[in-house]
Amino acid sequence: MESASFESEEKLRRELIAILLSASKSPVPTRIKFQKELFLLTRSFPKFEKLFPFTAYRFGPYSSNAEAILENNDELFIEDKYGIHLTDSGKRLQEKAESTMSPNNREMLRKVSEMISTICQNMNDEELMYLIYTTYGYEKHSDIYQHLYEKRETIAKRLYNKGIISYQKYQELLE
Amino acid sequence: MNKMIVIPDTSFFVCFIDDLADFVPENDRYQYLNVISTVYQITVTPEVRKETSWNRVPEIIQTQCYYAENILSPPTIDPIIEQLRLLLGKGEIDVISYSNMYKKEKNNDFKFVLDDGMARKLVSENLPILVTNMVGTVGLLKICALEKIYDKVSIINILENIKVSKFRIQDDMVCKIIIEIKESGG
Repeated sequence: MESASFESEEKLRRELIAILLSASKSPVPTRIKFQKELFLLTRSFPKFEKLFPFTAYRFGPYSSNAEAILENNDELFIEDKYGIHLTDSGKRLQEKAESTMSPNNREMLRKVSEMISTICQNMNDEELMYLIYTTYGYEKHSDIYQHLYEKRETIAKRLYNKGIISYQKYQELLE
Repeated sequence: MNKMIVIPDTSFFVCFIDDLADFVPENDRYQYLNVISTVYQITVTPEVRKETSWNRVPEIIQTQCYYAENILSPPTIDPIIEQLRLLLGKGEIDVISYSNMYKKEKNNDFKFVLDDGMARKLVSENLPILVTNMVGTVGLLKICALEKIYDKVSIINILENIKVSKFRIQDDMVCKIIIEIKESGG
């Protein structure tokens, strides 16, 4: 029974990652960004937190489950010089997974995945990490939080000037 | 008749308390807040009170305002708003969350005040259901003029002061509102 449950959870993990990656117009450039995108997805859908428990690690929230899924499913996910993206089998998995969802769930999951992709594409890794640290914490065990904190004025100004964050958020990043 | 609920962001209070301080006498500034909080059910979220430093607001106005957590349902997790949390301030998220919850409960006779251009853009793009309930501080003042809560001349005067103050708004936006008030009937 335990094994069946593990298998069905692994299947769900693969499907969720496939849906997230399919929402991105271009490959997700780094593993850091991939981890953060998945973390943001679980913030919107807390029921997925059990599938991907995130812990504070060197570059912010990190899920070893997500890392393992990427590592162990070459037939679904590619990591090459362009970044992380889906194979044809990965795309088929995503389509099949979406077809089994209710229209409302599918639409919401897709909309949120696309939002995450758009938000993250406009930021580099350090901008995204600093936003996540200041919004959600996870700075314990971090290799870079202190460095980012010292650069917070530059990072905050860049995010504001790019039209990504509001002025109120800009001020919060400086605190 | 029930008063219309208005859920303002921090910038609304900061406009009257700080931004207009060099341009409009204190009594007049607080008189505007006083009248608005008498006519509307000004409903203030916890984060907005924190950001405003609520004890700076005159006591009479404080007592006329409502605490959001006392009269509105507590917001539940909304997948879209959770993504906006990364990009917007805590006060802005609080205002959007309470407004979204109130709207979901089939209420439409309310406004929420959001001034930041980026925050407004994100709401328009991602939470279109809320757009008709969203106003800015100057938009709320326009409603005050159109509903004859204040006379047009006074509202135009305060808008002219807002234009030259530290309040973060584009001049042409204020000019547009002033023209709309001037051209309105009555």
